[in-house]
Amino acid sequence: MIWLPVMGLIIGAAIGYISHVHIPVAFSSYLSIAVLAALDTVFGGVRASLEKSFDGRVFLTGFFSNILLAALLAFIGNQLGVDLYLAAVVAFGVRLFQNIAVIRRIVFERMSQRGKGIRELKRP
Amino acid sequence: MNRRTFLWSLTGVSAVLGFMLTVQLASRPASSTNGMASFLDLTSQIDEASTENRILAADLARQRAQLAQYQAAAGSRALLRKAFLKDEQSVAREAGMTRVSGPGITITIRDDPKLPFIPEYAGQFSTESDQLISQIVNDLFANGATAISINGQRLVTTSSIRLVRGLGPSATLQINGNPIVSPYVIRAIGSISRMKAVLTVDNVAIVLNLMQEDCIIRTHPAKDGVRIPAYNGRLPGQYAKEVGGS
Repeated sequence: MIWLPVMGLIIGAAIGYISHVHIPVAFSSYLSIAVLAALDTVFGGVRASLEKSFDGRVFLTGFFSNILLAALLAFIGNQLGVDLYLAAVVAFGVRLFQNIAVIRRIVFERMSQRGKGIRELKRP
Repeated sequence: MNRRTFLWSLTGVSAVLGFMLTVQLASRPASSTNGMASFLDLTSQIDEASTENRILAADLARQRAQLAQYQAAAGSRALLRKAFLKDEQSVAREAGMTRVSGPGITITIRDDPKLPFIPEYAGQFSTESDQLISQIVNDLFANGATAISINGQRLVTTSSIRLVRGLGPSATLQINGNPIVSPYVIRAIGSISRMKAVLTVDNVAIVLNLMQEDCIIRTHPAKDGVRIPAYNGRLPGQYAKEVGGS
């Protein structure tokens, strides 16, 4: 079942590739910040799942609201002449690395626990 | 149940993320860090290249016509001479070595003590006449003038407008190295409307009046309304000769 998200990613990329959707260059920065927000939400969801605290509603609403808010922040910053998108980049970037670090630690812990269990089973 | 929800949510979100990533990659040029600036730069470069191409194409056509003329005249000495003379006349006309006439304007600048005395500006013209006349001439050339003379001195590409000071307080205005005195009469052949417009926009008459200088601008729309003499000054290379064998 773990291959489902990978398949989703491939299918989404294929739809984007086949549909030839192009956004104006002026809006490109908004989409890039939205992608960063989406990545942050995905890794946040994976972390929550590993910590057994995943909530589907929180995950989905967080995904879309983060995307919209990040793009909106970039747009407002552009209109005001202030690089507000940097705030979003820093916030999402920091959270992204924190989430990745936590996921890595949990995975390592589980792997070490599994290793211990196998060794105990093999012990006569 | 919770795990299944997570997987399906993650699948949907991954699909959206994949779509967004592809669209972003397809929309943004990979080699450009500033897409809009690159686009504008390229557009202006294309415009400049097109203009240059047009100018060069016109130049090439002219050179080809001249070459064809020379080739046609190659068999006949008289025809070849005629072609060279025509070429010489054309070059002389472009260089300002021939008299010209046409519609244009005259600007007469002279002292007028009757104008209001403003201590801040009065007498300023005598110390800045070279700059002010240069500015007027540049404005005229930039706005439709094809030939200009100042007190009978034709302005060409090597012309100079200098205010030369001696040991005393007085200064003399020199055009092409020849001293001239007030009244200064600038004659210009070209588009009357454009030349008058730039003089109005620059407030030339008002500025000169502040300096107690009268500025009379007259238009001469007739076919030979303004006559401008040929350049009769020194030519480049008259004294200084190129050193050969280097």
